[in-house]
Amino acid sequence: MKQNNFSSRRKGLMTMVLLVMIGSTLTACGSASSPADAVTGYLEALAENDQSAAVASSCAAWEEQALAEGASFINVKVSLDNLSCQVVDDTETQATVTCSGKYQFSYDAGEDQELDLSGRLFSVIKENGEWRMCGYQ
Amino acid sequence: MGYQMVKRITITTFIILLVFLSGVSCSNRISSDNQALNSDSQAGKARANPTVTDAGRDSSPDGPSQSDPGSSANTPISDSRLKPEDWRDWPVIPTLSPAMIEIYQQGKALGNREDAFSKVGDCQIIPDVFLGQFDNPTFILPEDMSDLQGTLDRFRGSFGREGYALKGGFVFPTVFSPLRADSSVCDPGETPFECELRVNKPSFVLISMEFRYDGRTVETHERYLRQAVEYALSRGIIPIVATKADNFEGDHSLNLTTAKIAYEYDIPLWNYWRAVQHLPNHGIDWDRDSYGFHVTPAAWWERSETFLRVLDSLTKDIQNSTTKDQTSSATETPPPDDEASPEAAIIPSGQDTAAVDLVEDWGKSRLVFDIKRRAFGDSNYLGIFSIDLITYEIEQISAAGSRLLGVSPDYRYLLTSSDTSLFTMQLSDKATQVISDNLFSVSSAAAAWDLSSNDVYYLASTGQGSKLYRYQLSSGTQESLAENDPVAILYADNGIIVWGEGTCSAFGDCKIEFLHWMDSAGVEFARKAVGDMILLPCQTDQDFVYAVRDENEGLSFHIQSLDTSKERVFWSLNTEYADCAWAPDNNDIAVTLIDRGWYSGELYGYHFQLLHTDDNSVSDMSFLKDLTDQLSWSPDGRYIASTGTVDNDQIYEIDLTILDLENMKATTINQLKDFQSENFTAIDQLYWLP
Repeated sequence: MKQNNFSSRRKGLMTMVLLVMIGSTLTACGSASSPADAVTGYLEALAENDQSAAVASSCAAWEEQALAEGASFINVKVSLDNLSCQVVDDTETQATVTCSGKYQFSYDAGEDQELDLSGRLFSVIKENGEWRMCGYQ
Repeated sequence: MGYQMVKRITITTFIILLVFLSGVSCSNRISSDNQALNSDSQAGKARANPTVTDAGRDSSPDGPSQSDPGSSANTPISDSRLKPEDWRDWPVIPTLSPAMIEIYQQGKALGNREDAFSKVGDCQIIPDVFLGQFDNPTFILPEDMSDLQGTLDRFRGSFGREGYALKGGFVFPTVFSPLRADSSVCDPGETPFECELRVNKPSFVLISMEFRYDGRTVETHERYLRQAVEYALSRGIIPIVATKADNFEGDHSLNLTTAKIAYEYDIPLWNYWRAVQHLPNHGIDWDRDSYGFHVTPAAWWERSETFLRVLDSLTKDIQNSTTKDQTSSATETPPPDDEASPEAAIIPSGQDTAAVDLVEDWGKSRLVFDIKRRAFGDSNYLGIFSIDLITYEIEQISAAGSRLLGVSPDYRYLLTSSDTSLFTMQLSDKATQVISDNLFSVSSAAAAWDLSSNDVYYLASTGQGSKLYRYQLSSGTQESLAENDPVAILYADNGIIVWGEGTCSAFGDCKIEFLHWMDSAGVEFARKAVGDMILLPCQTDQDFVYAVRDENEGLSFHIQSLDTSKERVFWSLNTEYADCAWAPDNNDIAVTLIDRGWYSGELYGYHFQLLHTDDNSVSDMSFLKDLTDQLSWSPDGRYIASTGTVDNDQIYEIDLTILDLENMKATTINQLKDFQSENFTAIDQLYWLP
């Protein structure tokens, strides 16, 4: 049982590494010219169920979490309404971004749900010359 | 903050990897030794414990039990549990392993609530279809479930609670996604799963993720379930995992994986799959969808009933374990003379000075208050409300009939009452915990929360009068401290209580004849006869505070040390004191005074003063015309909230004013005028909240 666990772990890690590599190759596609663009790109990628783009918009340390967040949008119909992001604080290498807008979720088995994006602070860092979504404050 | 988050995630990943690797080596060692209990049951490491059971034990009508909670930790016993591969034969209702009982006790010490459980899952376990009806006050258990009444009562409030990690459409990635957390409650970067456990502080968490999603494989299911189990264990919370009725994946591999995790960590598995096998179509509602995900209403009920039995079984295991410990302990202490509360305890954290400091400006925080209305000789409470001092939006926190009696030291709970029930209410989700059903409710000062010791003192009705009780939130036990007709608690802090002895009329007018100073063990160290003195509400643990009106109508305010060796006196030209409140630094006292016509009793106006006890000086601020009679200091001492009732041509309006002592500015809040009435209406109790 343990060996099975371990091999499945290994498989999972390899998959993760692969995805990270894919994400890295997509860096150019996900490049953001401003911190607000990075967050916008990340949130839009989630709404479009595009995990690769979400990873590409993320800093290296956030990529694993980006995959998990992306997975939570799968099998749910999502729309992202009135998204608008602004920088509230920044330096040359890091920034804080706030957004307004709403995700609307509907899944085939139940009621619609709404996720208001306001009130959250997104951390953005400059990595390899590009702004990338890197978590929440 | 972003970097901290990154660091945290990296460290978390590292720790998970470390735990995983150590678990592998641990398990290998154990299986080769085939020894019994590894007593290392630190939170989060419980899976290192192999399970010990009596071979062939079958305490459940459904089949063999998973483990024997009573097994000795020192007795080598082989692991005779049913293997994960035999999960179909596992009992529907599990029992608790010794390792989990230890986790439970650790969680209790961490402040987990013995009467609460959380649910993490999807539409299969939302309150509409699962357990919710158990919280309906009109719900009566069927006769064949009457043995579960105690468990139903114990966990009341958790059944209908949705929490922050349960919603239709939720899957494992959702509850581990910070983006999906309720940002109004959850900390930045916190996942819904973490948030739920932090906010609710349950003793048990049901983890039941059934909703399918692309990417759900045996591997991802195992990874997420393991992550959830380890996180719960690290918080001293017992995870309850469950098999599902459906077989969407075709080979029941997800149920097998869940059983493997349950086996490995020795955690309770609720075999819901087995519970529905006797139902038509094994509980699957094929009419609703073609892939067999949804279950029938009969299976809904089976789910609720069997889960209540799970809770019942697990809590009984804990109670039995405690009883065994007590009877086997050589250092057993005798049971207290007074009764232990049947209700389990909640443990709000101690005085949270950090919370005070974290609020940058208390003038932009919140006030919480209750409203009392008098009509035809009766007092009716309109409920408990809060007002946001930025937006001035008013929110009703508790329904009509509720009274406010205090706020916990960490500002997360209210001490409230309704009729003769005294309870705490968690602000985040309004979950309540009953302390007493016998409150001496005729008194307006029948309970107080000692912010330092985190105990609640309250007055309970007896057949002939009242008694003073101390309720320890840490243990859920209570003891009687005084029986000689206590009618009001005027002070409770640092383990010292000041209470008044006297009589109350049926209309709630209480006359206090003696004041008593007592420690938390019930030892009285001072007693004062009130006599002709005018008793004031701002007593302290070291002083007797009262007013005197002499024969020339001169009014004075006295702070007399209990041994009478020291007395500070402040004189006033007004006719009576309406209220007094000590500043948080205990140096200044804010007082409101009233001028009345000596013959008609007509109220001419309010005055406001700060009495400085360090130099006996007085700052008269009566120019602040908006201040009325009742006072409450902000925790940082910068603001004073003042409230009273204004009579505008026979229409009573509640007045609420915030005085900024730093800028000497008073702001009147008009929004409470909505509560105006032809009947006298007032705020009874008022507290500050972050």
